Amino acid sequence: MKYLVNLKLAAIALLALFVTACNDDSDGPNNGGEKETVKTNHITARFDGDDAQVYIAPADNLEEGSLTFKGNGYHLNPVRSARVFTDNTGWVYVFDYGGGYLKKLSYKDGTYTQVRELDIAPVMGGNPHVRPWKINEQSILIHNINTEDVEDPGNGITKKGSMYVTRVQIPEVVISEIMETWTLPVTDWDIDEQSYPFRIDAPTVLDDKIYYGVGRRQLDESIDLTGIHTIVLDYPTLKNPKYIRSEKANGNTNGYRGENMHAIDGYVYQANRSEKAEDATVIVRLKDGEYDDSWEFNVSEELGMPFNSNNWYHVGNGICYMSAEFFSETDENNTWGVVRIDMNQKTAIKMNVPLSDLFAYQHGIDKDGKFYMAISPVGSSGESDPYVYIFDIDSTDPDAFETGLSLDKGNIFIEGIF
Amino acid sequence: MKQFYLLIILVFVSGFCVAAETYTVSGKITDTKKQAIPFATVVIANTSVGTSTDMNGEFTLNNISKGKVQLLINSMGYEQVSIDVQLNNSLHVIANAVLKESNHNLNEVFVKGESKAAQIERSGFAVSSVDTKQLQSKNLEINEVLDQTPGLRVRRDGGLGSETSYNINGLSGSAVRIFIDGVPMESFGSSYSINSIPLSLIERIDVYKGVVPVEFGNDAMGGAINVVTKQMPSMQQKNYTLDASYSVGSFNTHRADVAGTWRDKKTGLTTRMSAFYNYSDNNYSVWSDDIKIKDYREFLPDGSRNPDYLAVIKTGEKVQRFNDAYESYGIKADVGVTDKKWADQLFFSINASEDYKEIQHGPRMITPYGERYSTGWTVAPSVSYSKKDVFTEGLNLTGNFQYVKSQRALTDTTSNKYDWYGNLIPPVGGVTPLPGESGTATLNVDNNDNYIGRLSAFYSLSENHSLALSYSYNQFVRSSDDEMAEAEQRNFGSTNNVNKQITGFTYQNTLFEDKMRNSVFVKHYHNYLQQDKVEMNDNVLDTIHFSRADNNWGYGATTSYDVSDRVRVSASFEKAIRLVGTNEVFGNAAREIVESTDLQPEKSYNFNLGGDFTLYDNTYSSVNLNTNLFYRNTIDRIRRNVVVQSGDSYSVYENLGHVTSKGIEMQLDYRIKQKWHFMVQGYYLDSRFMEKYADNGSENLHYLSREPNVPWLTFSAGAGYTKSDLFKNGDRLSINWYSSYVHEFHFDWDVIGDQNKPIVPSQFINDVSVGYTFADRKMTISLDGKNIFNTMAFDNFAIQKPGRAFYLKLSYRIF
Repeated sequence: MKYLVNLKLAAIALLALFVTACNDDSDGPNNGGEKETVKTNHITARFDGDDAQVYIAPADNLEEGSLTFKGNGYHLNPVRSARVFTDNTGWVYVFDYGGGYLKKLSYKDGTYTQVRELDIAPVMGGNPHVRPWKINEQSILIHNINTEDVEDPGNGITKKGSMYVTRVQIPEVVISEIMETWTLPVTDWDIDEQSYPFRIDAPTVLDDKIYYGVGRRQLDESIDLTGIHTIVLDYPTLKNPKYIRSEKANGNTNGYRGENMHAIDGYVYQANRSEKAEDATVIVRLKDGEYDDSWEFNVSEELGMPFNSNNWYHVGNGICYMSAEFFSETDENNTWGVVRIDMNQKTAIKMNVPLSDLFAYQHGIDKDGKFYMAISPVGSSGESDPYVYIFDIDSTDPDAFETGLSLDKGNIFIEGIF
Repeated sequence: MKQFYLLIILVFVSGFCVAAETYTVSGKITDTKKQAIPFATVVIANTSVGTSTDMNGEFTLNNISKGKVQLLINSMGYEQVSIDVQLNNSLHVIANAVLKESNHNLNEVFVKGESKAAQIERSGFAVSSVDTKQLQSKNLEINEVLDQTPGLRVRRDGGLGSETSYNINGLSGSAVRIFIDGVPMESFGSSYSINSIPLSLIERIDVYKGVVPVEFGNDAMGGAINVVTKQMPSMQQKNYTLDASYSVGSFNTHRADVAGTWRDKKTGLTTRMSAFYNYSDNNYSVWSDDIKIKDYREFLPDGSRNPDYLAVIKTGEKVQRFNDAYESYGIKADVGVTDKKWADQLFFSINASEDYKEIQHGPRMITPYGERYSTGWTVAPSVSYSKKDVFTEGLNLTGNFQYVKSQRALTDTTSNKYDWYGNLIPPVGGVTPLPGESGTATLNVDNNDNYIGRLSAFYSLSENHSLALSYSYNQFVRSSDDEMAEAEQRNFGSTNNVNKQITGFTYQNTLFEDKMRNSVFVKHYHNYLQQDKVEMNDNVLDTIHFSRADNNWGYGATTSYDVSDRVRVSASFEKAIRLVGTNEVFGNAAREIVESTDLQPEKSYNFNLGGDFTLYDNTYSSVNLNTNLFYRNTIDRIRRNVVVQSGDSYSVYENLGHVTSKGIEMQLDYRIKQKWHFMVQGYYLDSRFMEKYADNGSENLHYLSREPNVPWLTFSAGAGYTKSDLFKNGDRLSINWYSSYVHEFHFDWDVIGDQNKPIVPSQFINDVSVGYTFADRKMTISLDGKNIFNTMAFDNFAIQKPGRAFYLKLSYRIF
């Protein structure tokens, strides 16, 4: 009986597909609607510490005025959390982490309209908990490592990791490449430290390779993890994966929600996230799918104070602004500042901006020699109000910034400027 | 002064010729103006067998033995009437009576004849007591009955067997406790839901709002629902009953129940048994915007990639749910004795049930599941004892002990994925499918053991003063494991242990010739939490032991005053506690909850002010207004928050602070003769977040804003028509209409953002029912139409409930 019902439904479904296939030009609910979008700056905010309450609002002018999310902003309404990207033509892309949908929004006259939606989970093994990254104006990559326990007789439990990557063509939002699921090799260093790669993110393309930062976890928490790691694939074919290691620093390289690797002048630069004050924050570089052991920049040593980072932004000419968590800061709500780095000169300056929490910060933008980043100190102990901070890229003065657009004070965290 | 007169009519009508030796007496009690008298008591003289009349003045007494009996009929404000009834030839005797108004001062009338529901309502607690007698002929589930109670919202995730939450004046979750005959519902295990109890077994349902009597030994901060089942008839010389009902309707829904009692004449041994069976495919249609139809053709016929592969090509398509079937069944048996020297009642009971539930989707209707399901079972033996005048006159004792063993298992291991039509999604070349339709495979099993003991003593100091002491003990042990989970997220049989002991003391009095009733009470809450967390570290299983004890005091008072026979006012106050749970305090790896060892119980100060007014009452019609105003001040409200630990986000429970709520509910009833009944009901809640600063010192932007995800404005209206003696003397036809409106409410805080806000939309749902009871009063047939205009209905954000549905129910009293 149920079989018959299924058969009938299958017939209806096929018919429905046939009808839609014959109407390729029809305005489906997600392909039609607003065909136009207007390029502007967008600011996203997470309300009340809840990852599922994420809002986006336009900010035409980042230099002055004020922006509030009170009664203003489009609710991205994700199942668990939302990641946002924009492109040069004005489209807004939102990945619903937990729901598994990549959505495309248009923006015009203060109004956001969803124009297309893609269900990513089926090409990711069925998992909606995967991570997105816009790597260039043509591509958003969706990627994930899935791990499962394997009973190893005599040795207890070990992990088997499988890596999934899919490339989505933008602005069309069309699936263009699907990587064949790759079982991660069990390496000597992972056996030695009873560890396994559990996360990949921050992909960066250079020439015909794509580089993924890797996060590792240990099965025995008493063992400290060493080294930094990358997974390299051919691009755009997403073939020939390799899992490589450098011992110039210790820590994960996948970042969190902000950028953690950059392609600059023929090299991919990568930073580690150190777990403790004794481990320095070091920038290393890669080329042709290998670590370049001839170059390193120990930022902690240059700055003269221990810190770590999981997001930093390249603004041209080897100048980067790095969110930095200082191990010595005592106000537990506000331990993060901003460090200006010059990769070519190997210099690092701590900028005199107020301390805040930049752990989950996602994005800043550079325009006309300036870098725009939102800094919102947490709580009443913050010395200043939240603003868009505008850094003068060319200046090496720690005070070379001014405040622009004023932002909401209170239990709202500005995730990024897009 | 009116003249005394008395008129008795006895009509004998032949009943069903069944070879049973018990008799039924039914009839109607009216006043001298032929108006029905509700809540009049009808008692067989020299026994405790009796009943009270319904709103139509009608009563039925079943299972009376052969011979002559004397019926004593009492009602407040009327003189007692006695009727002699001869039970010989006809099995069903109709005895009608007319009561004369009493010329006595009303104050002197002994109010013994009041129904228990009416008594509860004048106890001073803010309580709605639903006498289910009126509802037997309708095809209703308990949840539907509850949803028609002012101030109470039942929110469901779908059809039969779906997740249900009860919201009393804005509070829900563990702030609202459900009891069956005073025993906490959660102790019956999840396979035995409140909906499993057939309406025919229920005497009444009491809904306490805010302030909860001490004898419910639990931490019910927002209120409590107590389902009172029919008590064993006693003192009758011979007695057996058997009732059955069966209902069939839309979505292949079948519900059947049977209930019987039997009492041995010589030994007094009494047995009661009931069984239920529920089944539904729940394959109702859904067509909200969350239904997204995608293109699953990876390649076009020419071999190129399909640009619309996995794109949403249609939303709001009408599809039928295909993995949502529910089945449950169970039995309950009681054996015991009554009216012994050493016990008024001593009963041994056993309750066993099992269920199977398919799961169509996660917390939102986003991805359909085709194979995920859960199963559960419960076995619960118990013993209960009560005795009046123990040791000394006026000291009554009751006690019961229950052991409940239950299990709930969740299965999701398939690597198949389904679309909304119920078809398998074709696999993607080169991509390894992962097991688990929700993204994570699971075979989680929770094993629960629950030990519940309750003891209460009641002592009458004098006719108007009494003391009561109650003590409840609840030991709940849960061990969980999921063999599919990864080591770092696996519980490995970790056990959670909660020991709750609640002791309460009450003093009650009645003053001014019983016009005023007062009580004051104090409660002590002892909550001992224990967790044995099993973790795998370095491939070795370690057990870490946590424990924490809390002690808290609560207190309160109630009063009720009859200003006149048409006006009654009542007021109550309580400082109530909502205790913390083990997962909230110690965390749970599988649910990604981290520990919060400083978490404090929630405390709430509840105030209620109620009034019951008979605005108009003459021989033809009456208008009654019932209203309740409430104010609630909650501090240390618990909420879930997100924390980041070593690069990952987890849930943590924390005390959010301060919420105040005020609100009003009102119900107006208009009755014309015994034929028409019109009702309108309104409810408004204003619940505001009162914490200006967050824990970390940030200003709260939602300070003073309305609490989200709580319905705050509702209206309902009903109309009913009853016609007796339609085709035959003694039959009854009733037709009812019920409309309810729930105003839209925000799922998140409404102060932030203005576009694409998640909102549970306003809805207006209409139900109709027609019931017919045959003249012999043995059989009732009813036809119900639910949501007859097929409106898109939601209780929770993005989860659509069933549209139009019809059900046919047949109830039959075999003996």
